[in-house]
Amino acid sequence: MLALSQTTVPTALMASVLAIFSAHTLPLTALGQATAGAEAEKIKASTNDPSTTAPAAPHGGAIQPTAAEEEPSGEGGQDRAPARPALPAMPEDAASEGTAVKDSATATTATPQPPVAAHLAPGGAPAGSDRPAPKPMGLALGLSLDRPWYTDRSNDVFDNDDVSERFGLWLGYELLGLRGALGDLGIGLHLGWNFEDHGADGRFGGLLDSQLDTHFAYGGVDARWKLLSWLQPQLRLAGGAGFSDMVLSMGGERFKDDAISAYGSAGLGLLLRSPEDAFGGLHGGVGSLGFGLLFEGGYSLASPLSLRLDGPGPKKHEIDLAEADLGELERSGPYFRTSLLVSY
Amino acid sequence: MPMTKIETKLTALVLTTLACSLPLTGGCGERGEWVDERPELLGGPVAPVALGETLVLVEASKHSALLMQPDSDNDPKVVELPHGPIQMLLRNGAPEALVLSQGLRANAEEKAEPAALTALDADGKTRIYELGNPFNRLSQSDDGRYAFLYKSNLSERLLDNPNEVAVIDLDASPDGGGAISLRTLRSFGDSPERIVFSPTMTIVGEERRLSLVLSQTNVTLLDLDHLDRRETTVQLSGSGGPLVQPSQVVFSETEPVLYVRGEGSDDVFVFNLAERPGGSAAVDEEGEHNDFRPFINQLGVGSDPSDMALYESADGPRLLVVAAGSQQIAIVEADTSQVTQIPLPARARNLLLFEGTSPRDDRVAQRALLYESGNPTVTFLDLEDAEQEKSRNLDTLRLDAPFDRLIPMLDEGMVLVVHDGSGISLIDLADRTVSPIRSSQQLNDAFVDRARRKLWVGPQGQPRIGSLAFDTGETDELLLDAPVRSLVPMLDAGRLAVVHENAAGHITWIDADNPVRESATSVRGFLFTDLFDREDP
Repeated sequence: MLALSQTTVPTALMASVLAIFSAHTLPLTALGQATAGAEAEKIKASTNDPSTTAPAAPHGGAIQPTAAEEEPSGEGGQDRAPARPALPAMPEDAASEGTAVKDSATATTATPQPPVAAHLAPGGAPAGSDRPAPKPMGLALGLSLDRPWYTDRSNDVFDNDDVSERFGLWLGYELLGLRGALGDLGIGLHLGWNFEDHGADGRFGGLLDSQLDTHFAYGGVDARWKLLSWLQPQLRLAGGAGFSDMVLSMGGERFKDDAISAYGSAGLGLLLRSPEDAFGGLHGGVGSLGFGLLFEGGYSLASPLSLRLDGPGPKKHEIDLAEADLGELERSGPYFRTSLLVSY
Repeated sequence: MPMTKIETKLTALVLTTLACSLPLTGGCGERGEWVDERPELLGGPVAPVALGETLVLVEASKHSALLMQPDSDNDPKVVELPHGPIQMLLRNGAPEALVLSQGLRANAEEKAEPAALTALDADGKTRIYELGNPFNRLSQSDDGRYAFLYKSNLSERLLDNPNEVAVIDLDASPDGGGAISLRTLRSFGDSPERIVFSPTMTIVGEERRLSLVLSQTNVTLLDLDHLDRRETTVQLSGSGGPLVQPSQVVFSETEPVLYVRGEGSDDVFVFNLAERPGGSAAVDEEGEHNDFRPFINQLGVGSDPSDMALYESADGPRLLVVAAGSQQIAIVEADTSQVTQIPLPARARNLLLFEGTSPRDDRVAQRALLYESGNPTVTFLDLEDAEQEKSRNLDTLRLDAPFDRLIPMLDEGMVLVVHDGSGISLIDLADRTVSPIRSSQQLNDAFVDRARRKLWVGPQGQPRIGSLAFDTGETDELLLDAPVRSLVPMLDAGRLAVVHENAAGHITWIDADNPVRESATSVRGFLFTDLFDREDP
């Protein structure tokens, strides 16, 4: 469980990233509301119909009174946005907005919440920007090719190169969106499966053929900074387990063993997305499809595999046999991941 | 939406970075050479030995010794040895293994390492005697104090002097002075073939021991108590005469006399070690001479003397010589050199002295068994009055098959005969009877368990060991789980260790008192124990 305990470092890193964004936007407790509010604002902008704002209120909860409704304006939504400060003005603004929240029918939280829409230009763009906010990725399915780099010499038993290949599938969903001075941040979860096999013949002077197959199951969280609609740096934290099967063949005898290794990883990557309007830019149907190419480098910290030689047997009446302990196969190391994904 | 200039530059930067980083992820860090080195337990002269309850095996590629005990749960203790171990034997009189290593020649990656002799105990403690140039032959004295290292057919080095020898005092610490004596023997064109250690002898009034170096034509005497003095070399071949190759030496127990037999001569050479004229003061440019020198007599004992032994008769010491060429024996009165010759009824080349009774004589007396490999007939000789009775003291016994070799079991009053084909025979020396023991295998590796009065056999390549009880004649066998490679007695610990043919290492420990499968235990794969955790070699 070494790996799990040490994942506190990347977890802290993720928390720091979140803190950077949330410090300029919303308390983390309001992430759900913020997302809903942003969505409501985007719908409003796209229709330019004030009546569409009202239905958003029940979903928006505490942020129901939008800036568009409170601010006097004779111009369009895009022109109104700069009138609001990028950050909530405290405490005066907060007090007045808090009062407004308490007046609303859906005010269920005791904590005064700054209105998200106050920081958004119509269309979801950050304050001061005339660009619409990127669409959330939603559901994404990816094919991945990992190149783990096993730096420990023990892995020489199973492969000629320290760099291996690990193929897999993953499924992700962008749950939350944050907005702040640095831009938009999408928080998503993902689950995945990988497979990796190693094999080497003629080790130890032709004595030994080795094979090591590992299936990985993992889940994780990723934070994607939507720097541009097509270029999005991301931080990904993942944890899971590897299920390894080892076979060593020596002189007609096959020795087997299996082991489970827990691991955690942290990686920084870049997502290159297809343009949002590549398929029409419409929600639903083919228009919501997006494609991406994800490059990520990071480090995977894994508990070593404890393996033994487990030979044939036991036979009937076999003499009591103690097999050799091979020791611990180190599985930690840096990796480089490439993913091809399709999102909907 | 068209990209701005900043976006275009950013895109180029990202793609360029990715394009450059991708190749870096492939082909990094190729495997180390350590996975190409084949682990191999050495056999032959480096076969396993037992130190009490510890079995010592040598793995050549890792130049390490593996110390294993029955209860060590497949976790051998690994002891690093000097490079190039080629021979291991038990030290006489001490619970230590002696491992001779040839060292390492310098190469592009490694510095040269000197040859060394390692004394290894059961706890893994070592004393390493560094020798410098490599040696490939090792002999030790009967008491285990001295190790003599010499060379035979070494050809790996650019230049090599086959007359370089080393004498190691194993009782001395390698760190102190005097433990290692390196010297080059004077040569007459030959090189050492065999080493013989003398018992302690009184020479010129001083008790001392000699080592005799037998070469192709010479006998060289080294005084182990005065290694600083020059050695004495005796050429057995006369000028212009046939070459005589020294092959056997026996020592008088009472006098500073030794007898040398040589192939190619019908004589036995008698070396009488007496004071050198001038004593130890004789010094020349090559160093100080010893204070004694051999005075040599030759005894005619018959054609092609092939074996000899000294024994004590009621009338004084006698030398018994088998003259194979003339199918006779010669009894030499040591004091007078008078020779009595007795023709043999069957061919013989070797002799075995023993004390015991005979079917016609209940008294324990000195007797001899005369035999020849490949000949099914052996001859008994009662030595007590043989010079008078001559052929009347001879008795023959015919076995049902020729034999390859003979293993004395004198404490049991028996001789084990290993036949050429399959099977063995037990000769009862007192009754002069033979008990044939049939076997489906060729029984090369047999040893006697004196405590249990048993004979154990474990032929190579098959999965069984067998035992024969001397007292009852009962035979038994035990099925193992893998073919036998070697059978190592650990009788002091009440066990036998069977090393199996297995590339990963496989040993079965057998309870010698209860040799059944239920009491046996095995360890397998110990050559790969902690494979993943090993340090870089």
